[in-house]
Amino acid sequence: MERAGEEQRILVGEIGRPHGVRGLVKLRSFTAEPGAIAGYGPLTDATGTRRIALTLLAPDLARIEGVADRDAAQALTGTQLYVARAALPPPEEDEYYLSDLIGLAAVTAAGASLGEVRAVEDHGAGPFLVLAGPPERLVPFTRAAVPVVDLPARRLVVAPPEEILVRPEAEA
Amino acid sequence: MPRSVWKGPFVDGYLLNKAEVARASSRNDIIKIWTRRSTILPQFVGLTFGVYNGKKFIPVQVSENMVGHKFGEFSPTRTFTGHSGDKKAKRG
Repeated sequence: MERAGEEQRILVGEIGRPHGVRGLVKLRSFTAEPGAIAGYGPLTDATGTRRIALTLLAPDLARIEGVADRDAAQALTGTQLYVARAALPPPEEDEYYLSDLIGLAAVTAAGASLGEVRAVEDHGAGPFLVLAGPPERLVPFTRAAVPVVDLPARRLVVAPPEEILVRPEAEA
Repeated sequence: MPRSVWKGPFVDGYLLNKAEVARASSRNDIIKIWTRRSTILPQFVGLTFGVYNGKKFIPVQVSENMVGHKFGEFSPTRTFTGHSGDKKAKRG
């Protein structure tokens, strides 16, 4: 995510190689639903100066407004596509955009720093935060472990859960 | 060939005992385990485990849908990095 002054922009995709000779391009979408990338209106490139309007023809194939031949499409290969943060719909209660969480400062209830949120991952068993530390901590994203998320203040309060070690030797 | 039904699901014995203790304490502890091969049983639902992936203990919040799967399925051993895009996380 890029922050330029007040405007926040989020990387949502990347233009791939040309497809055919009529200016179509392959598209790599980073959105939760690949087709959603075309639903946010015109996108911009990394500099924020060029406006790029897409029409999706397939989940990974797009037509770009003003691009009608292969050479023009080739010139756009590798262009990263950004959307303004304000263009995203508001999340539901207790739901947060990953791009909003990443970079927040994590502190304990007593105010001690735990580093910043480096990533939010989910491998099918609930989301968890990766706190940079040091030391690096993985904290489940639950109300118990993260009681306060203060986006305007760019911080969240973490109550690190106690850890119980269960070594295989305990079997003996 | 699938595991014979008459054997029942495999789970390391010490894990059962520790899960019972954790459930009785009703705290939000993370139970760090190395046993990726153990099957997730109904009595583990609601507990949070830290399942070792060879480097880190990945938090696994056990839900009903996960019963019958192995712990290791939720703790990948390969690194995948992607872009956050418009993805969201719900606080449980």
